[in-house]
Amino acid sequence: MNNNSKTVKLVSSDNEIFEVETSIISLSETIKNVLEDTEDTESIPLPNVEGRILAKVVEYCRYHSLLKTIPQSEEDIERWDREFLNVDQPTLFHLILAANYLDIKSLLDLTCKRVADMIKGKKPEEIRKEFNIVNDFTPEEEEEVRRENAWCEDP
Amino acid sequence: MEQEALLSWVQLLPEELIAKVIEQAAECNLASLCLLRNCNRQFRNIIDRFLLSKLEELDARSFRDRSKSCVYSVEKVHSLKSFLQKCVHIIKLELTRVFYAVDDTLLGQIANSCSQLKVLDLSYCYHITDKGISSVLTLSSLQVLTIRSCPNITSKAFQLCSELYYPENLTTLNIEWCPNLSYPVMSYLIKFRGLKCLSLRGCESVSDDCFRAIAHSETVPCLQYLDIRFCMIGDAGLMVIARLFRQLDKLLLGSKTHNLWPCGNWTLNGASEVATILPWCKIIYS
Repeated sequence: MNNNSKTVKLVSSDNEIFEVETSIISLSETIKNVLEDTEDTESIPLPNVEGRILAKVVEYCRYHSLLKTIPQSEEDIERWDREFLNVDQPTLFHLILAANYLDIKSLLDLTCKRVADMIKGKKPEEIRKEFNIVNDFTPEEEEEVRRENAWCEDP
Repeated sequence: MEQEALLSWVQLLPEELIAKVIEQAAECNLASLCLLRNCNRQFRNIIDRFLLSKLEELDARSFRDRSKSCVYSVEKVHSLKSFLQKCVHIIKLELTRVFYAVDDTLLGQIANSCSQLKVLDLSYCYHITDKGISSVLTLSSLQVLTIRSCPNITSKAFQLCSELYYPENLTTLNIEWCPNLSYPVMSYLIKFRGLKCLSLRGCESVSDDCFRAIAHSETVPCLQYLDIRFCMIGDAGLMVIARLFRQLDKLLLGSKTHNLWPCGNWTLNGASEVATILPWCKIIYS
């Protein structure tokens, strides 16, 4: 069995099993390290990642591994990434957590940037509304923040 | 999933990831960071703890252009002070666009809390006086200081400092368009041993006498760059400069016809003599 066709079973927190080529999933530093440490590993439990999120992660790794052998234009890659992240907010945030846990830097950067783009150019009250953030400042704290920021507002 | 939809994502992510998101959203723009501090306690704390503390460059020019604003507000100085206290690793500080909020008290605080500051631009900060400049000159890390169009600055700003110690890392000092820079300025500045670049551009009180006063000095800084455009410098001053600053490789002179004051009193003969004494020095006329 050559290295490219060697597979490993990833077990999600809800016991879904994904059989994935090691060459693909090695985009994850966490899994790569496990595979290097224990050569005969057949399955890796991932108690922090749900099956539906793991499916997305595998999809991401598969596409980005393919780019090594079948290069695509920057525009095509950006379009694919954009489509890939066309998900609801809870999925997006679980993807961030999974990318962080599995140590997939490019996916973490991509997902964080997606959230950053959702924040950019918005006023605090719009951000609160968008992400269900509760304004937990006391009136005194709000006044303090206002004063601290006053120097960069209109005189 | 439905329950999660009611939760805020900030409750799901670890702080370092929220910091990463905020950092990307703000794109290193301080105005955006300040705005995001208004969201909730968690955002404010993360920005203060993760982002402001590692901030190395605070460029007030990134704020909207307020060059027409001349409003001075004590409250703004207070709030800029408290903001700067959080930026403990600041290396470069450009306060030109918030000139109205900069005074000696703020400079005193910068001297106390920004121990890693290397570059400070105080252009147009017209409230500052000699006392404030004396404070920032105690910053041992300071390498570049720019004081432009600050009418309250006199030579004393540099006297106080040099009596105590000299700022050994200060290599570039731009004192430009400060009309009240008086006669003994060079006697004080030659004690800044590390100085390599000095600009006195547009300081109309800087005359031959300022240089005559140091003509017999035994130790002077190894100046490589000297800008004396629009100063009251004549041939006598040029001769002192040529004899004292032997490592000068760039000298900037402004001609009489191009300025408003009785400046540029040097002649082409004087400039040629400088070129004879310092053949390696490039003389730039403007």
